[in-house]
Amino acid sequence: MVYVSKAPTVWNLLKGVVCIYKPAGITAAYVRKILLGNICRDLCELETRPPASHVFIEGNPSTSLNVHVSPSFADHPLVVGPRYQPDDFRCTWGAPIGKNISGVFVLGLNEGNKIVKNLHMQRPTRVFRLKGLLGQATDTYFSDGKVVEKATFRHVNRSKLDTLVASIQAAHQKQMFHQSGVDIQSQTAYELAVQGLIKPANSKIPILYGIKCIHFEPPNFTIEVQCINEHEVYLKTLVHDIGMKLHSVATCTSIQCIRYDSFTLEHALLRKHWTLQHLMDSMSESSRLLKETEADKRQKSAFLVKSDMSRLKAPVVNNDEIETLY
Amino acid sequence: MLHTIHHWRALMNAIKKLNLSWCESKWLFRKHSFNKATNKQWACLQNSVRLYVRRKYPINPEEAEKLPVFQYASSTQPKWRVYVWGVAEHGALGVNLQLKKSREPISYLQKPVRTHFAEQHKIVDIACGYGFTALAADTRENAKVFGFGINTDSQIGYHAPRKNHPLQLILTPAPIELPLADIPNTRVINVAAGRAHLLVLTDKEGVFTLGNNAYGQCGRQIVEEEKYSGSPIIYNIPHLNGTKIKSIECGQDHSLFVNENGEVYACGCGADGQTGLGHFISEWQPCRVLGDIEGENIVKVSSTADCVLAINDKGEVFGWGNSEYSQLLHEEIQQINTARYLKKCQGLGKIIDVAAGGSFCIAVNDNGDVFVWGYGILGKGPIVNHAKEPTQIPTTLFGRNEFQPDLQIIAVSAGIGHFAAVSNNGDLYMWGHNRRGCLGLGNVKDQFFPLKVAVGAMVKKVSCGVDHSVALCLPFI
Repeated sequence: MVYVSKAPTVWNLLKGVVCIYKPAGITAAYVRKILLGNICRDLCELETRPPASHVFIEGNPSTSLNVHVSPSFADHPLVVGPRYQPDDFRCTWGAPIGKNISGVFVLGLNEGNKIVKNLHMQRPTRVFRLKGLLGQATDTYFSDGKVVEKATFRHVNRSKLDTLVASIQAAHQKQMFHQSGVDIQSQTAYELAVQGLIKPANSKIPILYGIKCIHFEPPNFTIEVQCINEHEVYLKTLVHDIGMKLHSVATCTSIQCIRYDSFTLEHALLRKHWTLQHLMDSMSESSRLLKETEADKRQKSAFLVKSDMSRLKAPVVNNDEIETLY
Repeated sequence: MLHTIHHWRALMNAIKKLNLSWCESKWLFRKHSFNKATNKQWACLQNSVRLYVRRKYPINPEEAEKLPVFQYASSTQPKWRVYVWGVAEHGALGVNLQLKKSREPISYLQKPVRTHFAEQHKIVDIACGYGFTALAADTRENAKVFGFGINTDSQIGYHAPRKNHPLQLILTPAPIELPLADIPNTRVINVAAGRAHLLVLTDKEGVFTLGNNAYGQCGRQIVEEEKYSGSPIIYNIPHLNGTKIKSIECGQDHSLFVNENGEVYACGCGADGQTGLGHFISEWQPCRVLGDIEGENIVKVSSTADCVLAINDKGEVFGWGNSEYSQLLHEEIQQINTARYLKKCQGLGKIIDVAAGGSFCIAVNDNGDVFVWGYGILGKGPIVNHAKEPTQIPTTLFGRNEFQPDLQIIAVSAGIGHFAAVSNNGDLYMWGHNRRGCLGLGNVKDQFFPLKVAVGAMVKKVSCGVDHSVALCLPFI
């Protein structure tokens, strides 16, 4: 166990990728602000650089002068401000996350920015758990909006939802073949299609690789989705469209990201752990994860690689095992 | 996101915020394609539009309680739907209801279209012939089978709204009145259609045949120079040697019957040996097919042109007929006139469904794996067009991957130039030659590997004709 008490040492080590659990209802920028604020607060509590020494020459020049060396007031933290301030850090994210989405959120600190940006450029897939509420439709497709329509949902049962969701998955599969970027009548298109799951050529087109209903207790239901190039509104409209196809209406009540590339909920830091020590641990774990999955060598692949899919089976759980994070 | 901008005024306001030049903004306004994600300016538009709703007053929860609860319509019982697509000019889709002078009739449909006819009648079986379609309905009325399409050989029955002028082309579903003994209680369970003849199987009264009989495919004696156009003859085969007929199948100019003991009978044209009776001549009386299938319990027989495939209850495949494209045996014999056990299909597992197309064959085993062989667009890319041994189509093309490991193909069907496969989820995959949209994929280009057809319902049975296809489906809700 190495104990470091000097802040400058820690400052030099603050570079890497951090995986945190973003709470719902706040924007990514606000999360970044809180995080940097916490880092600065914790750094300032450590032993910071003492104020520079200043030679004080006091007294009456005609009689006698006192010379002493003391800490300079011009360098005192109470005068110039805390030693570490949020502006000193560079912190950004690769994959954007919406205001109402909670869950795994990967940020980079200082030199880690490049790593996080490069990781996102490879377009890894993300797994979301969407919670929907049957019987109501709001104007923002989310539960924070005004209810505009109510419909019956007694006729909806688990098997109907499962068949619909399977059909959605098959439709996206077909779209995936069309979005491969090559003429569908060519041999290249066939070879790509045989490989299995392809990333779309256009990075703005969302594709759902896997959809499954994991919990159904009318009017609530939960759907787990593995997708690429998605955005917050797209996921909300997905829940809404599922409601429409079931001849009812549905709104989204919560969106939780449970996996981003190889970062899962186990790696994500809760709000109470957004402190310096935990962030440093998270950074070391992230670098270990990225090294294991060889994040930098996946650039050239157009297909979903094994590490993108290896952990899907773990999050799909039965009704009894679901933990609701309320 | 963009689909929320429905009103043009809101669109104008959004475009104004982008500060584009006059020409660019006018072009952007005219371009009504909201799904063009590749367009950079639409991407900018997305970013410039508010992602939240601006409210004048806070949300009042009491208003939600006052809202009326709407009930959307849903199908009350399993309502069978019929979707059609392909060439419509010969009436085989039944969509050209009235030929008005001002409106051009529909030439072909590239995507599946739901027929209104299935909403008014409970359809239990479908069959696609060469340019015509037959639907079997479950009613207690006289008209239990309806047909539409080419009627030059009276394969859809005798229809003469004007005396002595029988219709040669029927554009809307027309009833075929079978000469049943017990009209209210006899039910039609199966229909099968060939090039110019139609077979109707009932549960109590055997098989009724109509249409062309030049080779004896209707099971009745061949009459020299018989005029088939406008012929009201419907012939009945009540049983085969005392045994009840369990299922029927039509090839191009021959007919096949399977009785309750699993024996196969055939009649019709035998020039390629497709009757399997040991000779190459036409035979009008249904006789037992000779060869390796004697003693086997045949479950299914399939034929579209002149190659015939049959499977027994153990999942073994037998074949006879045309083998010009090495569909049947390893040896280079082009016509096989007795049933032979296909050694090619030995290592494929227990086969649950087969289909013989024009120049190719397809089989699916109990694991849901699909095998194709023969000549043509087989479904393994544009390069592979000839396979002497059955080759598997990769299951990833049908959607079996880590997210859907239990996807299986449960039924296959083949037309003259294209294939169809139905999965256990109710999805329909089609590939092959696209004759004016008969694949239903939304274009007229040939498809070299299986692609899902957007039907909008769960497909239970699909039938492929020469240039059109019909599917019998159930709704999701």
